[in-house]
Amino acid sequence: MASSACEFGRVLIANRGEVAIRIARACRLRGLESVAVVSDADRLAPHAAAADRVVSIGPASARESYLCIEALLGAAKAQGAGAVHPGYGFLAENADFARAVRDAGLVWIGPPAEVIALMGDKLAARETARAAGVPLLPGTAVAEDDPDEAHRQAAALGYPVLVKAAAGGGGKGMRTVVSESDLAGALAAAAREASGAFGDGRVYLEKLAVRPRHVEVQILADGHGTVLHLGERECSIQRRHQKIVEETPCTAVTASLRDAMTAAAIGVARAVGYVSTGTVEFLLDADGHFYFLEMNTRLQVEHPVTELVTGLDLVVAQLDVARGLPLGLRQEDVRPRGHAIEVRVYAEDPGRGFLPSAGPILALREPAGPHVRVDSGIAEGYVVPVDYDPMLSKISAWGPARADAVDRLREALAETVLLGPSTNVEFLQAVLSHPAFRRGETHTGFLDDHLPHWAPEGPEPALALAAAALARQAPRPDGGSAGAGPAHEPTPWERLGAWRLGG
Amino acid sequence: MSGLLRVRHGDTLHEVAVRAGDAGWIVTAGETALHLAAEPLGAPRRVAGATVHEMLVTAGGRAYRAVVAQTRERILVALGGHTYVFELADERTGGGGTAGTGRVVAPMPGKVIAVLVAPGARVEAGDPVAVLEAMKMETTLVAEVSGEVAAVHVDVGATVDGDALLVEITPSDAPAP
Repeated sequence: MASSACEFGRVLIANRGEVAIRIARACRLRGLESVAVVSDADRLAPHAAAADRVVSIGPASARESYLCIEALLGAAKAQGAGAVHPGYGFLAENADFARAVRDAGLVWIGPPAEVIALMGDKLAARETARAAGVPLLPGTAVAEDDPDEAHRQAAALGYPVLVKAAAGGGGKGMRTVVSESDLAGALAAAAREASGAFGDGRVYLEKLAVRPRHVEVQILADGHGTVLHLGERECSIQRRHQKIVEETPCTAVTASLRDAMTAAAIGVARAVGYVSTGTVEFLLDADGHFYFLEMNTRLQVEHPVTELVTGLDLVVAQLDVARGLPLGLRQEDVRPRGHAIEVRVYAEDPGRGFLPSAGPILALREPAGPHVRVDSGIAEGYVVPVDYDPMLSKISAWGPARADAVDRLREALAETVLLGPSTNVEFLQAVLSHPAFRRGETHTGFLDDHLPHWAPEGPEPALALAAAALARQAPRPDGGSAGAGPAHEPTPWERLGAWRLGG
Repeated sequence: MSGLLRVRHGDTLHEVAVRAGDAGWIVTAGETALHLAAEPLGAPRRVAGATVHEMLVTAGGRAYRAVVAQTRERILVALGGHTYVFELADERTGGGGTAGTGRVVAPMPGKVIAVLVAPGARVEAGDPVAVLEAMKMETTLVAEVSGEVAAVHVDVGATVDGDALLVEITPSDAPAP
């Protein structure tokens, strides 16, 4: 088990983008070497240069690179890595990978493979939670080849229902069904998406809670029997069942509710012998009742907000726990302070149904300032590939009170310059500026209720048009000028000597 | 005419003229004339085939740092906390101008995971015709017009470029060929 000596000096980071960079930083802090892996699409990605070594693992297709266990293990062996950190997404919750890493004599930086397998089967996870005395939403497995039975089951739960992938996560293979006529199509689509994403097309039905909050508890456990909670996070603002705004603490969680939710989360973690970081997700309804959703057996995308209020470094803690060290912390040592909010910057077009976007980053200026944190996986000139999730970076802000954190984060987004693919930066500003968000009135239907037909509406574009017209006529690095007039007629830019000097 | 720029911003066509003023530039867009000063910040640079200029624009007593990226089809401007996308009107090729036509194009590069219609099939506007997977998400492409499917240009499993023509529909109210 994790308490036995398992020293390692070099860590293979089986992931890409901002989380790969995040893990490389933590390794450096602990004096560990790190090995980055890149697909052909990521050869020039910032994470390639973030680690001490880099190795190519295959073609752009995730299936042949970041999802390819043999390629990753081969890279770990060839590079002499003693441990593997899976990050989040890709193979992070793949028990076969965790087992293969262990069987290869390497240390898995995460919970035991058996725990991943148990909690990764969402139906088994529900039973575990039930046995631990944690409340559940009504739900049922779907008989795969019996559509009539599925219709009876959905009717018994009562519409609306949610179709979820048994092997699911990250909103993949999830569909909301409001009426019977949509059920068959939703089941097929969810099964197809789940099969593609997880190689497991089993789905189940769950009663859809109306306007709940998504609240989750961060767990941190070592191999010596210490299981701590690091408070809760609210992640209700979602599009396509994927979180885009996350914060801690949750405005709806009172001290007594926090006690109950964190005790339930620790109960689930203890019941399965949890080790490393993990997250127990709940739905919280308007009446203050909470229901177990699932447990994520990995580092969570939104872990920075917990770090900002607790002062802990969760990835460093994962490394320590994986080396068999005790956490050296008691529950009373964890004292969250202030409020932190994170937004996920995606290459997508919120004005066109959040359609993913791709292509080169032409200009990039990331925000800075007091209590602003940027976890970024991009750089100027980097070409956002079409092959992976379009998350580009995460921007977080801390404040002594929630309003301070919101204001700081809004400013940070306004400072952000990101030209190239479409992004959700202005949409995120609209969310943070919305009166209901500022009042803390958040729930999983927030975007549909409050920003259903959002379109970017900057101020009048007069100044931007002027800047465009001026740049259009300026010399280019190659000496040309797209908008140059006839030779006898000097362009206005010739009065701006510095362009000539520079160009 | 040396300083005339024609761009589309959303549905609006802008014609922008630039001329030298006493203390900077006079930029005319439609009825409004803006007096402003502009200083380049560093040399322009080439990034992934685009030209990027940075400049300090001063107008009405306030200075803005503007970043302008020019590609073949578009000019992207970051200024004052907003990003503006201007499409060059003169060089528009019709890509993106498919609204209300029978041409179903891939909105971005991706993989075709389902083709839901066959040539000769009757479709109504809003009917799903194909499913594209891009960046791990499924996007259902719908017919923008009612009519008859004239041609299907892709097979399931095909990898397509952005703007690739996938399905052609002959609108039912179109005049007979």
